Amino acid sequence: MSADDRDVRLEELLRTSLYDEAETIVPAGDGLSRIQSRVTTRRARASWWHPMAALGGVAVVAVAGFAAYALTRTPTHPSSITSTNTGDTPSPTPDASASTPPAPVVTAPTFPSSAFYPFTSEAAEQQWVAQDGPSKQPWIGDPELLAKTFVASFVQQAGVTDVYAKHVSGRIATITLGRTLHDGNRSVPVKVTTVTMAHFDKAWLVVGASDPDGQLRLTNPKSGQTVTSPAFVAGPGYGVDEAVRVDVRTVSGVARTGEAPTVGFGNGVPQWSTTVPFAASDPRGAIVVVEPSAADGGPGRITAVGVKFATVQAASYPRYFYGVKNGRVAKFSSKDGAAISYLTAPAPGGGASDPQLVGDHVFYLEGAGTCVNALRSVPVGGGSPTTVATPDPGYTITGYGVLARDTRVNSYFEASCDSAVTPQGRLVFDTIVDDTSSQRTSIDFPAFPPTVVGDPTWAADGQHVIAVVRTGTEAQVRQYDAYHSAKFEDTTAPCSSDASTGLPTATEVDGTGAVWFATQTGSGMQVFRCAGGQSSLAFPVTGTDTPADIAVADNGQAVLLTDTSGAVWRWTAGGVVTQLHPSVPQPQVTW
Amino acid sequence: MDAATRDADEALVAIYTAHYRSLVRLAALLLHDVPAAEDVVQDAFVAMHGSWKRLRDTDKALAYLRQAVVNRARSRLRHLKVVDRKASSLLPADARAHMPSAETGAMAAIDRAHILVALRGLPQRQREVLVLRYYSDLSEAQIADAMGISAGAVKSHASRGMTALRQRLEQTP
Repeated sequence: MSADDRDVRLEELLRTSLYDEAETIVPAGDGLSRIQSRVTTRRARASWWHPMAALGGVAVVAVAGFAAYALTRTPTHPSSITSTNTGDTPSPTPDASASTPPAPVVTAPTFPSSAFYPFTSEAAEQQWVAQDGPSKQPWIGDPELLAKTFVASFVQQAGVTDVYAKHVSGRIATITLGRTLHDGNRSVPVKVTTVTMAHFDKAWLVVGASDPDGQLRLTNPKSGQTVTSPAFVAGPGYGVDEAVRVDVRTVSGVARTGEAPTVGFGNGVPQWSTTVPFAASDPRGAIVVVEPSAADGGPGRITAVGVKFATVQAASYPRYFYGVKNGRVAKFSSKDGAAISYLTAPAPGGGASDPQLVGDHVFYLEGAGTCVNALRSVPVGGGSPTTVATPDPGYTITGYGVLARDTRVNSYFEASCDSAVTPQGRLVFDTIVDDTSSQRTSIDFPAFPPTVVGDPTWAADGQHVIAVVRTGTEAQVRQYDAYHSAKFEDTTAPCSSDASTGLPTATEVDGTGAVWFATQTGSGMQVFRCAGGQSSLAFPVTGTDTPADIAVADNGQAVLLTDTSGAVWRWTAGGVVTQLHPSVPQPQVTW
Repeated sequence: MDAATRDADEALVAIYTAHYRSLVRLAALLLHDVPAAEDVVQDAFVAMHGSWKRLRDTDKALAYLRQAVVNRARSRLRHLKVVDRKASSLLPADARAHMPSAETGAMAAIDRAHILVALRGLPQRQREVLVLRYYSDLSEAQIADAMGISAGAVKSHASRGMTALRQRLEQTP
């Protein structure tokens, strides 16, 4: 064993030892109430002291202070300590002593801004009171009953009704609920969640719920945070082979659109994360995460974080997209996928495929018999198609990209019709030297794999071409220099790959220069947006399909995603993912 | 109650819910005394509540809490001199007396007990750095912030602490 190995082993041993030791430390359940009690005392002292000091009457202060102390002092918690020995304290310096006599203070009730159940506003609570709610729905005035109702009705987890701890202190109550877990012949009591509630007027209001063991936590979003769809939800990993289900809920019901994502983690993974598209009609709600028990499938841990929902106007999307119907380039409605009109005439010997809207022309591939095709274009408003590029004899174009700001520049990948021919593929760059001359360069792909999947696309600089390069069972989004790359290995990575969990299969660059790519994962498809080299998930689509193509609106605010079976989804920033239903499958689309 | 006070109250609940347990565990690993650890963390929360007008951010508040917990734990150890006396509440004085035998194949548990005993014997700053690094998973910069020392000092304490730990473990029969 080398010195490095020993260091790593020692570090790991120290880490696991500290974690194991920490796991045995369980704080008493009254921490919050003790803190709040001290805060209240401190606040009362401050509100008493400041007006008196302003008066400048020392005698008045002394008498009033004594009287107030006699009226209001509460016994100190036997195990609490005063902060007389605070040591080095970070700035701003906390108050040190709690020994000054407190005085009574009356504060007007204020609706807790992080409350999300059963009311989200003071008006709703007042309406409940006015309609004789306290007598009709007494559970809202009882924190224990409210906690149980919250888990059963809001979180929709049945059977979590055993009360393990109950702390009510002033305006705050915490109730720890659990259940009896049945594993084989054993019955094991388990704590499932601690519901935190705040009191307002005649009601208790849920402001959050946490895992009593502290394992299932959220690092994003934080309590009270404003979230937009899709909500990015993340938390620290723990355990082995864990799985949680994430939901967005409001008092009106489920706000998520689509299936609630289930996220697997554990085995040393430092963080789990997912995104949840939602459309909320309520201003507030909660991100609810439930971990089912491996023993019986019932709830094992529940965490809920109250959030606000941003009232974001969903971005608009191009009115039309272009696809292929009956072998002809056709125009479709982006609203529902209905076909509107043809742009090209029937072509004997082969049909159109892979349309791409660039400027005011739709480019497409047109077959002309066995192992013969060409890159062509047709004006959006109708007109005669023209041939833009043709492959080398014995090859067909399988994917292409046209530079938006100068459509004379294009790149395409051509594949040999005969698998015995070398090279099997070629990435071709048709570029311009000056206004009157152009040049054609290419990179050979001697044998597949590696190969280029889908359409190559031009980067915003007009010099690089981005493509999905597949190498056996793996694939990566890579970038070629159209003027300098000479071999298929001469690539760079335009985007960080850590966000791209899955196999990329399609890519496109929008008018802002952002690189978009679609990946296939074990649970569906994901579309990432990459800007400044950093990738972030734009939206997921659940299912088991393989992405075939993505079309990104010029402003990057809308995306069409297709799969290999021809299904089409439309996504808009701030909006939701909607599946379109064209009359014929559309594996390749453009807008 | 003004908006700032309400904000502080709500932040207190939210931060308590998310971090109280881990902070108590951090304090307990430094103090070897769970009730004292709870007191220290509750002190820190009360102080944080009072300073919320300046913090106004959960991340800042958490950094503040960590710093307050480390400082208060250090102060408590220094002034009350409870290190050895209190340590027994978490770990047996002779960890080996409670270890499973080697025959049971529980070598990992033995190692863990040894390393915790060895950790307790380190100088205070080295122990703090190692706990913050390997339990709280903080970066050097975060540790420096929490301890009020430079990043270079963090490196130095960490290096010396690991070396001392290794030596102590090697001396363990």
